[in-house]
Amino acid sequence: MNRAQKISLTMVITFSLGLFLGIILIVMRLFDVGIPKIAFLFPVFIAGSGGIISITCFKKDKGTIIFDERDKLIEKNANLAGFGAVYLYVIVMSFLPIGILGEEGTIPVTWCPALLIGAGFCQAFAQSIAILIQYSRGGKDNE
Amino acid sequence: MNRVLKYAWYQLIVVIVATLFAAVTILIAVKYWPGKEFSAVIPFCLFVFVNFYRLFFPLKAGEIAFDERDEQIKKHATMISFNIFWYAFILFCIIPILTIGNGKIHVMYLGGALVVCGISFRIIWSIAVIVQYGWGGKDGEE
Repeated sequence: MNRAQKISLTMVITFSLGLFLGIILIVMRLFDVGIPKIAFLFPVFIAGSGGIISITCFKKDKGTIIFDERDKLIEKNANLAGFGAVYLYVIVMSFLPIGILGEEGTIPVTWCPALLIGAGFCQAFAQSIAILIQYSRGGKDNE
Repeated sequence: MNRVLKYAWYQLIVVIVATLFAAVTILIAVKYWPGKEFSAVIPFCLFVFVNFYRLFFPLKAGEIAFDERDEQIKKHATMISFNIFWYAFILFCIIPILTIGNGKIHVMYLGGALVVCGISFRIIWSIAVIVQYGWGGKDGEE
C-alpha cells in the first residue's frame, strides 16, 4: 500500500465515522434528547482528524521512485471525481433550502461557511474513494 | 476545425447568448410585469441548446471524434473550470458574512449562486479549450 492509499483509507474511515456520528446526533436532536449544539463539533473534529493523522503519521515513501505516470493519472482522475462531487453537492445544497423553506424563505448567514466546510469534506471524501477504487483495479500493481 | 474545438466555440456562443437572453427577459419581467406569476423556465430556456450539439453537428462517417490529445485538453479544461467554480463558490459563501454579518439571506441567493457558478463553469471550460488549441489556429485542425 503506497502513501496515497494510506492517506485515502484514513480519510475514508474518519469521514465515515464523522458522518455516522453526525447523523446519530441529528436524529437524537430530532427526538429532543437534549444534545447541546456544541456537540456537533465532535463529528466535525473526528472527520477532520483524518487530515491531521495523514500529515503526522504517513511520511513520504523512501526510495528513488516514489511517483510515476500512473500515480499522476490516478491523482488527476481523483481530483476530477472530487470536483464532480462538489458540483453535485453545491447543486443539492442550493436547491434543498428552496425546496424546504419555499421561495420566500430566509436562511442564517452562518450557513454559508458551513456549506463551504461541507464542500471541502465532500471533495476530500470523493477524492479518497476515487484513489482507493483506482488503485484496487490494478491489484498488486500498486505495491 | 477540430470537433472538440468546434464544440467549445458552439458552447461558448450558446451560453453567452442564453445568458444575455436570460438577463434581458428577467429585466423586462421585473420592470413591466411585477408581481405576476413568471416561470423561471422562460429566461433559462436557451441553455437547453448546449445539449443539442450532436443534433446540429452529427458525426460523419469515418470522422474521428477525438484522440488522446483532445482527451487531455478536455480534462485540463475541466480541471481549470472546476477550480474557478470552487473559487466562485468560496466567494459566494464569504461575501454574505462580510457584508451582512450575523443576519439572514434569501434562499434564492444560493440558487442564484449556483446559476452564476454553473454558467461561469461552462464559459471557462470553453475558453480553456479554445486557448489550448491556440484560438483555433492550424493546431486545432483535423
